[in-house]
Order: sequence, then structure tokens, then C-alpha cells
Amino acid sequence: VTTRTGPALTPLARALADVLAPLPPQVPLAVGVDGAWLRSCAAADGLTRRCEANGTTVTLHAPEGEERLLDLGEAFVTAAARVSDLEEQREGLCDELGTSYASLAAVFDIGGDPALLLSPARALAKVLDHAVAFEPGLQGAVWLLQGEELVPAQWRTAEAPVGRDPGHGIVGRVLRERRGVIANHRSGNWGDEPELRGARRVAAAPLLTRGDARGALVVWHATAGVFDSRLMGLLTTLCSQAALILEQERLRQEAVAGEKLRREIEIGGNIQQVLLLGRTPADVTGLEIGTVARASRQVDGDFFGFFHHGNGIFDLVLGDVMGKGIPAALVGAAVKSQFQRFGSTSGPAGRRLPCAEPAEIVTAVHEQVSETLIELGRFVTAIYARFDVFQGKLTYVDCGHTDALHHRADVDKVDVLHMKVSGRTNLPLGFARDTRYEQVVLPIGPGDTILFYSDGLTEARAPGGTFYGVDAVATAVARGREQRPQALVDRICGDVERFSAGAGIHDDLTCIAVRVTGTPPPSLLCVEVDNEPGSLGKVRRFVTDVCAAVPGNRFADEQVAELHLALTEASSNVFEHAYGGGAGTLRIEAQWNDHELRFRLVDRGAAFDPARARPPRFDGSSDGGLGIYLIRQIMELIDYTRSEAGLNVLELAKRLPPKDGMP
Amino acid sequence: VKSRVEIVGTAAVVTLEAEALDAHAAPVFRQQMRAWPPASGRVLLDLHRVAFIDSSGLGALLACQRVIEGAGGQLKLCGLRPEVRAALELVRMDRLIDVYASREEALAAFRDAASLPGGER
Repeated sequence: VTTRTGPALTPLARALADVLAPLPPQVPLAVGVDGAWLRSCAAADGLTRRCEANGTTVTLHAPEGEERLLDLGEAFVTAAARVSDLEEQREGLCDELGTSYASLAAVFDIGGDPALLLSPARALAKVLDHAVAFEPGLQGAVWLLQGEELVPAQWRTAEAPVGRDPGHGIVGRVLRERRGVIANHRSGNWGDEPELRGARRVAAAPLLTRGDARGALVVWHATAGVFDSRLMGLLTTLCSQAALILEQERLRQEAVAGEKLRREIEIGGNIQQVLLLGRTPADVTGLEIGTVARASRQVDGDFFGFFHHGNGIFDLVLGDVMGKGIPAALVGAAVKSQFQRFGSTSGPAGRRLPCAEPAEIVTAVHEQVSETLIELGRFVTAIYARFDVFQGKLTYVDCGHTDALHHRADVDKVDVLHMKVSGRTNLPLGFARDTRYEQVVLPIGPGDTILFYSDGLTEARAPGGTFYGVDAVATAVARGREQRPQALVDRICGDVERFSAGAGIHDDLTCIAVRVTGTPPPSLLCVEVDNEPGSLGKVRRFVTDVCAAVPGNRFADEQVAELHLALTEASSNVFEHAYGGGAGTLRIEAQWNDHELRFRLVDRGAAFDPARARPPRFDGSSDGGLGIYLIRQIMELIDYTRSEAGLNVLELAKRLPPKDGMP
Repeated sequence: VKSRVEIVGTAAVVTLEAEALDAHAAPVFRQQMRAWPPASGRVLLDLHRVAFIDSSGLGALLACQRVIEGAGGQLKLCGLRPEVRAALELVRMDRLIDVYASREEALAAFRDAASLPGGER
């Protein structure tokens, strides 16, 4: 049996490869897409079946002639089609999010609330609330297709709209064309739709799931004006969100109906693959990562997520929802989306937002979810870890999760990371309101391996009833120090499965190994300074180091001096204005490429935009405002952002002179 | 921030013994400046030890000039390192304060009653 994966595959083929991955190699089933085998086995006569998914023809072949294997294969194809559809929607959503903060807030509000995921009506109401909040005086409605009729699901109008034939009017056009429509400058008293008769402008977007129009979101205003692409962007985002919720609801209902076990595994695996788990990140600076997620028969709520922050900083979160089944998976998805919200530092237009401390992220997530989790009577154990490979440190917050294991290469020893801060451990999420989470920092070095796992691993039982246990995992980690992380986790999970052979695996097996591969020469340096005498000198030494680290002797002495000046000015502004002269820490990062050197100054003080300082006077009557004037003279870009997390971020960039010998 | 004051003829020559005149050092410098004798006379500030100056240092120099000129005196600078000189030029302060390449030239300019402001000669 061979498997083929790679970037050349279509989204469906890629999804199919993912879905097929857990299928044991000895199962005699071959699967082909676009004339190539994704999964092949020894050629023989037997049964062949072709099926269509998303316009792609998939060939299934069972060399031993087993019909039920072809049925199974077809179920995999259906699952893969859903996975690739949902992924495509999610990607579209991310593109959309990049363009608008309003959309971002709306999606987090809707997607992040576990209760909403379980109640489509409330979710659609929230979708509509966000749409009409775009401008005062907006009215709106969400329409859903039910059979041959268009039915209002939610509305914000004086009178409830009535159901109708979907063939007419603006909504009809949106459903037919499956794209958004804006109609400005209407004369009123016009059209087929009674509620739109007084509207001077109308905007509508289709609600698409799996390529089919399921309904539409419509907003309108009674006064003249212009709807533009910003509103359409928001409506499109809200529609994708609503479509995801409807799709999840459909999957849930199918699961509740529980026709076939196979189907449930398929749906569970689908939700888990798309929402709870993700692809193993491959190109993380200074780290190599391996993951295994084997779904049990009952869907479990294990989830993990990864966040790249650049600068050699990389976060991962691994969580486990108490309970099983689709509801647990949905709670897992909702909690994960909150981690994505607070943990992610990808801003609009490729900008990096500053990252909060892990303990702050976990505390913020808990504030968002604890109320609902307590209401639902569920809790979530999780571990949130941040690797900083340049600084050689691991910061983590353990919320009642299984203890991670740390194999230290220098002493060849495995430490059990049982986190205690002043004698106490953190509670799982959803245990108690108003919990403050604490973090722990450890040194890490090249060759170290850190293993994170769910309790499915240690609590796997042998037929005699004994647990696999943490010692066995620790032994496996120590023995696997020479193995690549992926091979290590594959072997551990294989070992667990053999251990409990016959007894059955009752929990999901989730396992992540992170190997510190070393610290490559950085194109980035950073420094942290406190507001104290001498700190500005430290800033200047840092600038000197940065200028020396940029390859190619790009800086003459005068340029170094100018950068000293600009960075000193910016830093003393932070200490004087953001921290008001009091205590506080400033972090400066420098990053460069062939064309540009960029500094980021991050502090936790009061909001302070240096560009708003008053202009200087040069007659000697006042010496205020000189600082920013100097920075402007020296740097080509000055960009201030106040982050949602309450950090000031000032970016200063300078174009680099050409390298020696470059034209 | 340390400074050394010598009286040369009718002028007070103040050598700033600080490597950096930045936001941390400038307030101390402003304090010390009040103690320089003679408040109403001629002051030459020798900056050859200063490797770095920022806007607060530049501001302190302006304040220093205001105090001295307000009392009918004169402030001149000498011994500027290229980095410091560049910072003055960036904010055009070289047009406000007389700058001389050496201590001797500055003292000669004090002696020359007809000396015109306007920089190095």
C-alpha cells in the first residue's frame, strides 16, 4: 500500500487523503483521483466503482471483491467532499476577515458562542443583528428556502414578511445568481417584495452551503444613500458564518437520527477534522512537530490548534472536552475558536498584532466561555504552550490537563511537567467563574522533545484492566529521542493500540510531539528593557547589535547614529507618555530582509500615539515635539496601533541601502 | 551626569562628562546648569565626551541657551562628535546655537566682540 500526498492535489483529493489516512493499510481498498492512485494496493481482479464529488471522479477498487468496502469508500468520498467544502468556506471567510474589523468582531461573536452553535435560530438572529447594526435605520431579514417556498427565518422590520415563491424580486435574483446584489437609488414603491416597497436602497447576499443557495440575507434603508462593498463584505461574511451554522446543524441532526454507526463516525471525523484539529504545521522556525489524532467510535471533544507569531515564537493549544458525542465536539469547536480569537496575531493585510502572554490568553478565553460551559454543565481541560526558540524558553498554562512530558537532551532525562503555582494547579475551563490562570516558564534547548497528549493515551486499558499510564509514555519518549516527532507519536499511538488490543479504545488518542531543532541564525533580534536609568543605553546597544547582524555591511556610522537617535526617541516616549514616567517594560523587536529594517516597539502602557504629538518650534521658545520630528526625519515608516489586548505597538521601518556591489 | 567647570578669561568652559545626553541624563543636566557661574556671562559647552544626544538633550541645550541669553550672556558649543552634530542639524539647531570646531576657536570668538552668530568658522 502506498499513499500519495502533496501540494499538487486538488482540495477534494487532499481532503480525501486526510480522511483516508486513519484507514489501516491492510484494508484492501484502492482509491484513485484524476487518473492517479491516492491509495493503491496489489492489482487484482475485483470490483470497481466510480463516484462523483465536487466535479471530480473518484475511482474505488476492491481487489478482493468486497462490496461493503466500496460502500465504505463512497462514505469516505462524501466525507471528503464536506471537508473540502467547509475548508473552502473557511478560507473564503479568512480572506474576508482580513478586510474588515466589523466582520471579524461579528464572526467571533457568532462563531465563538457554544450556545449559538447549538441553536441555529439564535445564531441567525445574531447574524441579522450584526447586519442591521452596520448603519442606524437599517431593516433586514434572513430568508431560508424550505422546499419550494422562501420562508422568513428572522426579521427586523415593522411587520413580519410573508413567505413567498423564491422566483421573484431581489431575493429571487440573489438565489438564482448565487451572488450578492446592491440596488442603490431606488425610487420606492417598486418591486415584488412588499417589505421592500419603501426602500431607497437594498443589499442582499446569498447563503450558500455546498454550492447551493439555502437562503439570503437582505438589508434595506428607507432613506437615500449608497450601500458599498464594505457592507457587501460584511453581509458575505455573515452569510458564510450562517451557512456554517446551518451545515453544522444539519450534521448534528443527521447524527441525532443516528441511522448508521458508519455515518456517525464519518460525521464525527468530519467535524473533528475540520473544526477541532488542523494540519500539522510544517515550517515552524526552530521546531519540528508531529501529531496524531485517532478518533474513537464515539466522537470526543479533543481539539488542538497552532498559532505562528513569527520571531521564533509559536503557540499550541491542546484541549479535551468532558463528555462525548457531537455536542462535545461542538463545544470543543467553540472553545477552540475562542483560542483562535485571543491567541492569533494575524491582523488585517498581513500585519502582525502583538501577542499577549499565555496566561492572559487563557484567562481571556475562560472569561468568554465559562458562563456557557457552566450552563451546559461541561468543562474543558487544556494546555496552552508557547515556544520561544530564540530565547530558549517554553511558557505554558496547564488547565487541569494531563501532564506534558519534557525530554531534556542535555541530561537525557524526562521531566513530567506537573504545573503548580504557589502550591496550586489551575482549574479546567468552565469549573468556576472568575478564575485567573497562571503560567510557568521553563528553559528549552536544541534536541529537547515536549510531548502533549490527551488522557485517552494514559487511560487506555489492557484487557486485564491495567492502565497504559504516564510512565509508559515517558519511557517511549526517552526511547524515541532519535526519532522524528511524527514517527515518535505514530509509534506511541501504535503501542497504545497494541496494549489495549481487544479491550477497545474508548477515548480519542491525541498526541503532539514538538522537537526543538535548534535556533537558526535569526533575521530577528529582540530586547526587553525596563524604565530605569541605563535602559536607553541598552536600547542603543541593541540597535548597534542589529546593525551588525544585518548581513552585508549595510550601515555607515552616520546611519547607525541616526537609528540610535530614532529608537531612543521612540523608547523615551514610551517611558514618559505610555508609562507616565513610572515602571514598565518595553519590548523591541528588529526584523530585516534585503530591502528593509523594521523595528516594533511593544508596551503595556496607556494608549499613546506619538504621531499625534504637536509639531516642534525651531525658534527656541519650546523644545516639545522634537522627538517625533526626529523620528520622522530618520525613519520612512511610522505606524502606531493600539491592539485589542491593550498594547501599544509602534512600527518604525527604514529602507536599506543596496548591498555592497549591488547596483 | 558630571560636568567640569573651568574659568578661562571671561568665559566659563563647561565640559560635560556624560557619554549620553538622553531622556535619563537631560533632567540632571538641566539641574546642574543652574549652578554654573557666571549666570550672566559667557558659557562655552564642550561636548567632546558626549557620544549621543536625543531630543531631550537638544531641548536641554535650548533651555540652557534661553537662561544664559535671558541674563544677557552667550552660549557657544564646541567639540561636537559627528553623531551629535548630525542630530543638531536634523532639527536645525545648528542655526540657533553657535557651534565651533575647537575650544580655542570658540574662546577667540568670545574675545572678538564683533563676532557674528552663524556657526563654525
